[in-house]
Amino acid sequence: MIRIAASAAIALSMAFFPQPDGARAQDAETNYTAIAAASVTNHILPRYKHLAETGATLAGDADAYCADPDAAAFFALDRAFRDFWLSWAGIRHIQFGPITYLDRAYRIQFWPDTRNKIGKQLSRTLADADSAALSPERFTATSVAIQGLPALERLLAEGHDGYAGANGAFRCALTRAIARNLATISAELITNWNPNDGYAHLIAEAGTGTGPYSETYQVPVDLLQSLLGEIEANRDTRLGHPLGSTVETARPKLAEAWRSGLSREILAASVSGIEDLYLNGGFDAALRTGGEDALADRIKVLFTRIAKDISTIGMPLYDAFGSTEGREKLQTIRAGLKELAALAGTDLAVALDISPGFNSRDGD
Amino acid sequence: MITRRNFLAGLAASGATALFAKPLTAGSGDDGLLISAARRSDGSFVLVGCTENGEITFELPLPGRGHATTLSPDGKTAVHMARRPGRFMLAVDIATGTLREFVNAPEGRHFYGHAGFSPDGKLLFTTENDFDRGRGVIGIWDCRDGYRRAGEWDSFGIGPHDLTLLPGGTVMAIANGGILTHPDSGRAKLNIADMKPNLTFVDARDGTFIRRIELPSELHKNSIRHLDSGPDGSVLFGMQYQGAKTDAPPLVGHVGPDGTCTLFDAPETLTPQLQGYCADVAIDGSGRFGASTFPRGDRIAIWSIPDGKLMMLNTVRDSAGIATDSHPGAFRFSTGFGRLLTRVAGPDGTIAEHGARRFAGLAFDNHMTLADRHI
Repeated sequence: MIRIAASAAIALSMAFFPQPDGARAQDAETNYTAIAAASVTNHILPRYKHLAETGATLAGDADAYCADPDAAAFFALDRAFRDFWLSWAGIRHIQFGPITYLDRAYRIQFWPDTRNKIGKQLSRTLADADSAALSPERFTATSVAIQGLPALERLLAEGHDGYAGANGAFRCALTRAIARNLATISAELITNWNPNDGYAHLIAEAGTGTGPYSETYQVPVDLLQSLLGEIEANRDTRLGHPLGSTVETARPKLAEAWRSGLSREILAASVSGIEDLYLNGGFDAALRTGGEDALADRIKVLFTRIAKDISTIGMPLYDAFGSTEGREKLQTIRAGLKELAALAGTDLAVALDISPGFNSRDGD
Repeated sequence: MITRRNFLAGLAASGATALFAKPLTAGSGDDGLLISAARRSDGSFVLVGCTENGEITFELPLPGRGHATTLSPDGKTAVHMARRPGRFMLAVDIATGTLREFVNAPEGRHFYGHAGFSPDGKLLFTTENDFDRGRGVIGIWDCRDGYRRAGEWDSFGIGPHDLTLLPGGTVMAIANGGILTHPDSGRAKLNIADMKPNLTFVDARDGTFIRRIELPSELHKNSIRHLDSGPDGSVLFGMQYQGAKTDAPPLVGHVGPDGTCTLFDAPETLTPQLQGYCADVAIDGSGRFGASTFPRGDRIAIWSIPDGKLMMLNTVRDSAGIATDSHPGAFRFSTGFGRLLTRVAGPDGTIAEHGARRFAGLAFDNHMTLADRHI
């Protein structure tokens, strides 16, 4: 009896409350569904598939190198490492769904590392040289700091010779463990995103089921937040922090992947990834369908300009942070990213009515 | 001990919701003053004083985004804190809306956004990050001496976000959210994989550790973020889950005066639709009711205390701030779309709605505080 009375009262109180912000127009609903479908089909699934492929290659090349460690095998492993990181940079902006399970994003790339956890954990692991700790079961439960790309980068940074010493065999075993871990995580992402009963299915069911998306607009909100988050991370964390306020206070070692010299290529891959989300994930099409061609053109042109600015820095990012000429170019890129964040976060969000609200988007 | 409740939430008594056109305090002569940080449509940040009648009594520009407001015990001064990792706080005369003091965090510290006064009003306590040591601290300020830094205590955890002084003023509860951040990395979370939030009680007279409550290990990513204390010394806390979006952890919990901790797990609220995010919690003047906001799931809730029965779950877009005063059962909710709503829980378990207001051009931020403007 009490339960029945309770649900009746709750239902009544909800009925009395005016509908939040009125009913959304049908064309907005159509946009939401179209963006969700295009993003999953054209952007997320192909890119996770590519990540899984580069992950499998990385694990295979690590096995091959450790079985027969010569310079050519090392070169192949190093290339596979770079390909995987660039592949990751093109899809890491997706910050919802299976990537959030089991600390996967942190395990792939623990960064930034302001407390040098990677260095400390790596030194300890190499000193312990405990092979049993590298079993998949134990390794996935070890510190996230040594499970992914930044730790692998440090191991590879010493080159083929780094694997020659007395500790070389364990060092190689650790390299293999990380490579295999990355391959496993990226394969799991594909499995968990599968359209039959995975996350792609939850997205397709948005607005109807009991999954994480009770309303269709929440999918484009997640996608837009992912896009904005990556722009902000590039501008502030990956470029802003190493830049410092003056050439004297520049700290190039705060840059991502400075040891492998991959920083600039990663930045380019990251911007290219969010450009793909915008262009092929349904945002561009939704703007044009709604008669917002001018805005769509501005965003498209801006993406092209930023990509060109990145490709014409003319020196490694590590050097650019400390050079007057390089800093100017990086500041231009940062200004472009800021403009892009404003266009996407305000103009596009308003035009497509996917504003997630002040507190829900950035509460504390 | 943490107990998990499995029974269905329900009301103790039946009854329809009443709808009143007038604000709760209209005509009573003691129109309450609501104070909240807000973003204006031009993107600037302000501290706003307004009434339930829709009047704006002051608008004070802020140098950055603000977070929570705390009232002095005499009700004359409001201290407003910067949102993390901000470094400013300001003291405002609420009768006139004039700025009395503007204070910066000490070197090597930033604020987390919440503060509390000692019962005599002489000291202010602030939650802070000693970021180079990755250590949470409680800053102590002498209010009688221009908010001079008077010392600091350990918060006994990482990321102390909110604090509340229990009635009597000898015990302080601290929500150590558990998330490590460093200003060099903005708001980036640096330790999600091994975070361990806690709710710590210290002696508010000398900072001595009393005891700590931790969540079961499977909930270690449930950041204990916001607190409010009731007249009997119980504490309601709100959590923000850092794990997978498909999880549906409890987001509100309660610690009774006897130390019993209960996670409120009404099934309607154990859903991924709330997106693991509780923005604020509050206990009413009677201590019998609590409220919580879930802006990512577009819901507001009222609970009965201490049993954690869900009394109300309404759909409201982007609501975060909750304000209470001595009025039993009364809660004011603010939203990021400039709305102000009132819900009043009656002793029989019914929920009454009072008139809603909209303040055009203002997005109310995370927290709202209610003061008596005529003190």
